[in-house]
Amino acid sequence: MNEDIANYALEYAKSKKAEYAEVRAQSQVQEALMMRSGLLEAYLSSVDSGFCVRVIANGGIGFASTNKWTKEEAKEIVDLAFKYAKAAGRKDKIVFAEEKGVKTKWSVEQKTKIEDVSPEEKISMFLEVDKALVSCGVKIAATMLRCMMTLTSKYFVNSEGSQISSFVPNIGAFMFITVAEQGKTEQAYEQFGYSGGWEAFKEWNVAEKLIHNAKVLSNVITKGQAVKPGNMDLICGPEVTGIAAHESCGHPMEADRILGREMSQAGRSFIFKGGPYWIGTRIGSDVVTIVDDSTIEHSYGYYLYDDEGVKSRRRFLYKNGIINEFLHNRETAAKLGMRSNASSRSTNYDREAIVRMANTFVLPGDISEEELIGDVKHGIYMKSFTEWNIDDKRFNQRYVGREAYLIENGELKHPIARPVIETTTPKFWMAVDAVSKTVEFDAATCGKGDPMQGVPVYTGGPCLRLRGVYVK
Amino acid sequence: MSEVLNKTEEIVKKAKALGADEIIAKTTFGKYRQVRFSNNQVDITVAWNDYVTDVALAWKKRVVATQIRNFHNVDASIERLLGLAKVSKENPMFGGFANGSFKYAKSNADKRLQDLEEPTEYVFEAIGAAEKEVGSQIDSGGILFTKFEDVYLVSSEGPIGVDSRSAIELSIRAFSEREASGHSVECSSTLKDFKPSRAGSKAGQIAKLAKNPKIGDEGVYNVVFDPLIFGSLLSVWAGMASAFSVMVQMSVFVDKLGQKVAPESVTIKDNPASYSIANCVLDDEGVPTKRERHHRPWRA
Repeated sequence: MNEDIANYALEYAKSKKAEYAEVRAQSQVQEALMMRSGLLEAYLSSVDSGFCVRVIANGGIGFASTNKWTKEEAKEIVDLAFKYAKAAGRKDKIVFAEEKGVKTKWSVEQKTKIEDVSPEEKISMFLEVDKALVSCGVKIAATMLRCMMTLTSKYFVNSEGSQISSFVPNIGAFMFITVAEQGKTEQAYEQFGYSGGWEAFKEWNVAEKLIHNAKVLSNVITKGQAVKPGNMDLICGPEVTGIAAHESCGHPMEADRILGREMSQAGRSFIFKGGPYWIGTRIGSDVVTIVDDSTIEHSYGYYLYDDEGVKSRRRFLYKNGIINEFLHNRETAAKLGMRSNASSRSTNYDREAIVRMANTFVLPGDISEEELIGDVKHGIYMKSFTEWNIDDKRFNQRYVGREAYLIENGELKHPIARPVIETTTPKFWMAVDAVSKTVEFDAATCGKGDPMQGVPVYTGGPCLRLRGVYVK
Repeated sequence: MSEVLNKTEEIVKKAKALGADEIIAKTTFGKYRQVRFSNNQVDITVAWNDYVTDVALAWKKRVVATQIRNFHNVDASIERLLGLAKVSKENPMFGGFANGSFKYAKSNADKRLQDLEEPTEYVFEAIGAAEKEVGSQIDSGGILFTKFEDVYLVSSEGPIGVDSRSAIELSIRAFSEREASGHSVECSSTLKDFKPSRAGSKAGQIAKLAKNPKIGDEGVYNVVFDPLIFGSLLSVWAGMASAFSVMVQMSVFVDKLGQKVAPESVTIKDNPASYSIANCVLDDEGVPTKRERHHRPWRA
């Protein structure tokens, strides 16, 4: 990464009298391994670096990027970005919400540097996981494991005086297992993610979690019973809480969806100006508070400044059941007369930063999981999910349980095979009458953008108790 | 032979000289342009140029890969990659890269797409066509995307070839009212066959038809799929037809090879034809692409 070239590009853009200009340079050192049923399919290693220029001119936005680090190329992409910005010919001109220039450096610490652990050691640790899994007593038909380690350095400068350097090491792993017993198959995936060093691997307890999943799948096949459809209480485990928070709170609260900018790609939102839901509208019971927080150290979605150079903070999306604050970048914030809350993220220098979540979760309450379950006469405990669907407005949705149990008179009974809830966003969150006191997170990759930009996030929360929902 | 092909071949020779058993290097010069629009206006126009050499290397059945973007340090990258192979694990299933000497069809890539620098006019054409159908209350959004790639591939196992690949795609969703929208796409490998107004009109027509929607009754119906919707389903099935997906059991085609999976009227082809946006004359191992592959009629 060549900061001088990035600075040169910015100065050249400023000399062209841009209304706004920024240069974002990024370098990514990546390692990835893929294993299939205990065999190493491939090990990948690469270095990618380049920079982009984004300008506002004549009220339009132009963006151009390259991985050629020369002044000639820098001039060329600045000129191109200008040409595109002007060609937009917008009636209502784009402006950005006000921000002061920031000069800072930030980074994430690695206790054990990813680059100090040899590829042999990394491979051997994952082979051990696979070995432990296939000898756990459950018939595993197939496993697929992917691990990606990325060291990302960024350098951001803009025409308002910002100059921000950052370094984030990041490690993510994805495992998919198939259990085949009694002529039936069930599948589960587990994702792990961490901002930091290789120390993550030990903290994850990968083998333990996968073995647990394998046993759960075996139980579903051999002991799982269908639920008798009807209205009943539902306890959602943190994994189910997390996916619901992400899909039916985080996504519809993205201001670019609300303003229609994603109407043909990610979709719109059930929240729109003049509609039945807006800031101040009740969407859930008063025990429901959902936040998006990029400042949780070592979380998968951690960052201190977003890709527009805005300082990150916790964002209260639904607060005590009320729609409270949208996720904004500087463009959407200006359109709604607000300030950016640092939700602008991009996966690489060649992608436009768009409005994204970081770590979205339900805040905890003050009762234990046992108390939550203990107060259910007849219901289902959906501890994890195997499938979910949601419409593009993020209103109608469905969750299918993976690990689930019948609850009778406050006690867990036999496993339930694939219980299904079909509901809407307000129905789901209004039905919550209590939340437990322990928050758990799951790593996930949030997909949005065209071309697709998968960004690392956490989803999570405590257990939720929903009263009288229809389960089938 | 072009200078780029020569440089790509040098990577292969270097790796072989260092002791690699097999190596493929593929250099791509990619030029991509995109216009994103919503509320009938252009939100952003994006350009990205990418210069990359993808390298896959095998040493004693250990398979490793890298992408080279810094061309001042190619030798060091290859040495590092081979070093990685030497500490990696054997994959006994690795059957080697494709070998042979092949002749490739001539690419029909459209040079006009390489030179296209102002694609916004096509967006306005599509919006205009949708507006004709819906009227002035139209709210439309979408994406226009163009690509032009020059590809140079050299394999130690014989294949060597060049390809140019071009494409232009438009996706437009038009709203006639808040709960009534139509969606359509237009795509082509050449500019002359690209008609953005066709997609705009169709999106507008559907948006008009979709006005005042009512909740339907649950039940059993015959369903007619628009090609766009059926194409989305096909893309899911096609992904599951990859041998890797079947092996890791992320596929409905596990243990289905040779078995009936659809009525006899169904034949699914995977065809990288010149008129498609996925046009290519050679695959990533340098094997010439065929017109039909993977599905015989109605059998997996």
